[in-house]
Amino acid sequence: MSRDALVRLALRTVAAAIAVAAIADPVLTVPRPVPHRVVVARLASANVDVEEAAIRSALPGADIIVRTASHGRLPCAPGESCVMVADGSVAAALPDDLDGPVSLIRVGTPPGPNVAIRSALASPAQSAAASGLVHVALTGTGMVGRRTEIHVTDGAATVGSAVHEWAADGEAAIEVAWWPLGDGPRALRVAALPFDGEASAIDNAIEVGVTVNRVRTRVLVFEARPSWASAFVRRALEDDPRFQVEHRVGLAPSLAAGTSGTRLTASTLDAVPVVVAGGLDALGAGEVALFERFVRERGGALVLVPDREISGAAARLVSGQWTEHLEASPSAVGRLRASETLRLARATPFDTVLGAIADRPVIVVSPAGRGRVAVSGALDAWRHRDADGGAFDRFWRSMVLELASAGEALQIDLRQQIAAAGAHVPFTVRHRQMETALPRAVTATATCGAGAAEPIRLWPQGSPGVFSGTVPMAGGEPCEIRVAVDDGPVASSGIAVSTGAIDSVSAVMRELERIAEQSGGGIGDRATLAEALAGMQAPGEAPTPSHPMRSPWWMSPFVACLGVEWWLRRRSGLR
Amino acid sequence: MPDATILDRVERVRFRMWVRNILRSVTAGAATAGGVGMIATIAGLSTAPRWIVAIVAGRLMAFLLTRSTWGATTTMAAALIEREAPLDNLVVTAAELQARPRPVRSDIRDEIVKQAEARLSLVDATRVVPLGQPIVVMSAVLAGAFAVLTIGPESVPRMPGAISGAVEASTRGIDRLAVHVTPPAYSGRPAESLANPVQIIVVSGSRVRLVATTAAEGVVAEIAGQAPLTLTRDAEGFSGEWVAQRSTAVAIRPAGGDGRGVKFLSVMVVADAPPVVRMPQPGTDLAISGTRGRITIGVEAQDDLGLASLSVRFTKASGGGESVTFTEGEVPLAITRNDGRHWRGRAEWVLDGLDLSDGDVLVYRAIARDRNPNGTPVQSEQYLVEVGRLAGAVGAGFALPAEEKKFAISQQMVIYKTEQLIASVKGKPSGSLGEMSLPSRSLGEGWMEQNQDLAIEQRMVRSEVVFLSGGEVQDEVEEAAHSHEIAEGRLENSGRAEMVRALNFMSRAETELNGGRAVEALVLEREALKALERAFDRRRYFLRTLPERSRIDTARRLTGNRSEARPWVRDRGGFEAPSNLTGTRELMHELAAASTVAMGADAAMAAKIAAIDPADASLQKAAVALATAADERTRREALWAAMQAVTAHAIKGLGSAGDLRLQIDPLAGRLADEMERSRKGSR
Repeated sequence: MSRDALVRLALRTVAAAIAVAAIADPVLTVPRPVPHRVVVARLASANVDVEEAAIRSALPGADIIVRTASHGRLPCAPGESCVMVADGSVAAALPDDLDGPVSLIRVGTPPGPNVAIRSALASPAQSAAASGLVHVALTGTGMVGRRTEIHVTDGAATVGSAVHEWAADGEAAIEVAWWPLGDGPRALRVAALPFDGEASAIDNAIEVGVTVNRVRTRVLVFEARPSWASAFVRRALEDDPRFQVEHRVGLAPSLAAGTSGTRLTASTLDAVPVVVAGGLDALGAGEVALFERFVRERGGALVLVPDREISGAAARLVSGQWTEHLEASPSAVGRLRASETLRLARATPFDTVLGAIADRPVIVVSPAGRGRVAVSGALDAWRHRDADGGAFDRFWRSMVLELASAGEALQIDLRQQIAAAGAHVPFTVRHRQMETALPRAVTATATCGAGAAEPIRLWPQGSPGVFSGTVPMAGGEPCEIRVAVDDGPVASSGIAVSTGAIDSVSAVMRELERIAEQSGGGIGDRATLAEALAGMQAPGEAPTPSHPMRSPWWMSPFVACLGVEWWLRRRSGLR
Repeated sequence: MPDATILDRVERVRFRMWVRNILRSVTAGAATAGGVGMIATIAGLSTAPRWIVAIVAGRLMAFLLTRSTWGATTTMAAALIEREAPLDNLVVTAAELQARPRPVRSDIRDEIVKQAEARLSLVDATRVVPLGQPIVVMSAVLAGAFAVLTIGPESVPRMPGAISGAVEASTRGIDRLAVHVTPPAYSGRPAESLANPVQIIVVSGSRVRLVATTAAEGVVAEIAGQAPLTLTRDAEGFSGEWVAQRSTAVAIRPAGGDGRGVKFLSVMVVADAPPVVRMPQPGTDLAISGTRGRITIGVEAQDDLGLASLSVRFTKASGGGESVTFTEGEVPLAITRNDGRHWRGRAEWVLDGLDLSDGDVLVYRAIARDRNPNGTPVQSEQYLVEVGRLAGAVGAGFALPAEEKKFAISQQMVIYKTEQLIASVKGKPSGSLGEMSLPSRSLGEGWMEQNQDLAIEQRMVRSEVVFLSGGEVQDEVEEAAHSHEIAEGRLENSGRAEMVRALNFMSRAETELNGGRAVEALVLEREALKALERAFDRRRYFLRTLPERSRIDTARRLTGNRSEARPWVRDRGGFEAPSNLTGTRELMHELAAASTVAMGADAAMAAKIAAIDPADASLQKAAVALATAADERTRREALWAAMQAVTAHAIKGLGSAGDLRLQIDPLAGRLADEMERSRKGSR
């Protein structure tokens, strides 16, 4: 074989080897440096360019990507280093699959006078026939001598307002009365009007969710014998359209008067969240046993309105030692006035004392089992019912409404009454009944905006009668949840859609700090940014799979081999 | 060279040309400013920007014109002179030679100068460049521009399609609204006429006449709380009237309109207040020992519109027991009228001619009447004059305290008289307070008699209190509530116990008085008074066996129809949701919409706000502010204020908010039960 032939053979072999290797496409693992990708999550309404530039200079060589939060979630993916730059105006939740450390860089408020809303609370359910209250907690700095105007708006309409005069810096609590403009879920915006020279306006507004309804609270007033004390409580409730009052009064051993269907049975007590009981000394053992089941098992609220010392079977319903006191002139007992009182020797840590005389509780709400027992020791408060512009009526209406909200047989507990569009809101359904062993089917539907009712899957929880579900806030419209029990009660609640901040700036910052601490990230501000990001190191080298034959450069030797081999053959006179 | 005289004359003309140019520039600038101002007004600019834009444009125009005409030269002035009076170009030649010197023979130059000077003497510079007309024109244009800039946008027709919520003049709208108010004749107030008012304040009963000028085919006045008033066409336009008895809001709408061009009128009615009359002198009840005397009475009365009469009348009660007779009479009064609304009266009441006897009582009061024929007379507080020996037992002319609680005060009167009795003997040698407990015989028979008189009074008071215990039931509910206490013997805390205690003290006081021991009696009398006050303070009521209202009328037995029998239903005294709540909510939605799109906030909306409650001053104020809002800023402020007023009114009408908050912990009950169980178990 000539030298040319040998060269041509070698060239062909090399070309064939390249082709075979390309077809085989072998995989090799080689250590390579991993790029350092850092996501800066912009969670601020203020300009944070300075902070972002500082992060770039603190992490040289890092691939910095700036993102904003969407759908209330932190915009970071697994494998990415995450730095939150936040001033508290934007809330974000931690994604479940994010496992790396998340650092927080706080954007502070510039110095100067400032007013901030710390919280705003309103009753989740509001009657359309009454006005409501929003409890607003403010924090003021450099505000002495100034006044802050608080407005509650429903859409563009102002539905409540109040003014606070600052006598000293610090915290202030204000109650703002408001009135419902319509039924269903409403997003109320509570705003402190900013003033000229205020340091920051991002902390001046919060949104609160309220469901306005026309449901009347059912109340049973049961008097074992005629009693003025309970009769005037009944009258106070009957005069209010928010209540549907049924009553039964025992006139003689076998004679009773009142509204129909109020015989004291388990089914009667199943239907009402609150029972007001009077003439307690005439209560029988059977009636007391029913009341005990109503409170402890059914979870209802029992309001005891005695007119003398509690004796007989009814004594089982109250705990602690109650003694009677008589005075020549009436004294203030919470919001009531009374001269004849029953006083509790000592309240337990679980009791809520609504009125006391000389540090001795007189009006007490005590938890018992699943329910509550309220005792009003203001025996003759009804005599002074016209004092203080009807404080007697207001007190009883307010207390019965509060107790009824926790004593309903079917309850919907929403994690939040207001949510951003696209959020998923979890809720819990609790169904209590006198006959605990009786299983019932519970169904739930959600109606968002003008859409059709969509069924919601309910999942049984550990306790009987307790279910959980989730409402997707699709379409950016308020949703109404309706839960029904077969042959039983029906309950509904609503979720409003927020267009602004739901939580206060301080609450958002606390939550972000918690996320940073739990994930192992650092927390700092513009001055301590380097320390906060110190733990955020470049990941170094990592074994990386490689396909060497996929490089296009292999075409050069392949073509060169074939070309030289062809040229040698042509020079030798071959074809 | 031209002669100085020629140059002076030419220069004078040149100066006048310069002044004329300045005047013309100012005129043109003012005209420009006026024109720009008019455009800005039509475009809806507010006052300050309108003035700024107009002044800048005017100054620019004046500056440009001044620049272009500034360089009036001597040659130009000479040419102007030549144009006015043909001088064969001699002045121009002379000016040219002065402006651009050139070689000219001296004899020719001298001749030119000589002839030019001769002819120039005949030329009047004021005729060559007259300044009067430019000054007049400039003044007129300046005045016009100022007027254009001063007049507001409401006087200028708007550009079609301009977005504005203002009340717009329209051929179909109300162009002019005149309101004629005729107060009731008794008020003495003159009638008044108002053009385009938004709010009027009238006396109740005033006749309000509306006259609307419009191109529409009819006008209806929608008056809140009453039927709409259709205005009828007459020579003045459309008119209608009603008598204003209460505050209201009126929306005056042209027929066929689409809600635009509506006029709003808030009518605040001030009711005629009744007169106020008082008797500052003597101002207390009196007791006189004799049947003769003279009492000075002073009376003051005032009324918001005017008083018609003022008098003092008395009633004499004579006799006793079942034979009491009453006699009416009037005390002559001298009246001083400060003005029609404030009167003073004074009387010297001589009792001699009244035929008084011991034990008689005079009750007198002042009575005032205003000019309102439908008004009722108002009387002052009544005062008492007790006549006789008993009333003057301690001393003539002492005043009785005001009566508030009858029985307590009667007891107080016994105490007062006892104190007076003790004080009357203080000056005597054996009459010091410390010695009062000594045998009273040393004070004489008069002392014992006076003590016994007081004992009689004390017994009378006691008997009245005893009677009270069996008196009429005033509130059966209260009595029923009290009944169980009696049944249980819990009298130590009841008003009845205090009453019994008071009776006991009274009996003991009476015994002391009968024994002439006034000081000891005084202590017991005071204890009785305290017990009485405690009894009344507890607001107890005392049951007679069969109250008058509960007696059975035997004549009506078995006469009723059983089919008409109904169970008793208590009248609800509580609140109900306001009937107009839905309307208020709709209005609130409209206000909210208007605040976002800046449209619809007009007189019609103001009328709706005012109609919610015409008696609510804050709503009326908000409505007026909205109806009179002139620009966008004030309209937004008025909308804001209106929403707050409507909200405040709605909250006031709704049930009170639940202001009690209970911390409901679902696990607390279980935990408490468990702790209780473990506590019992450990025992």
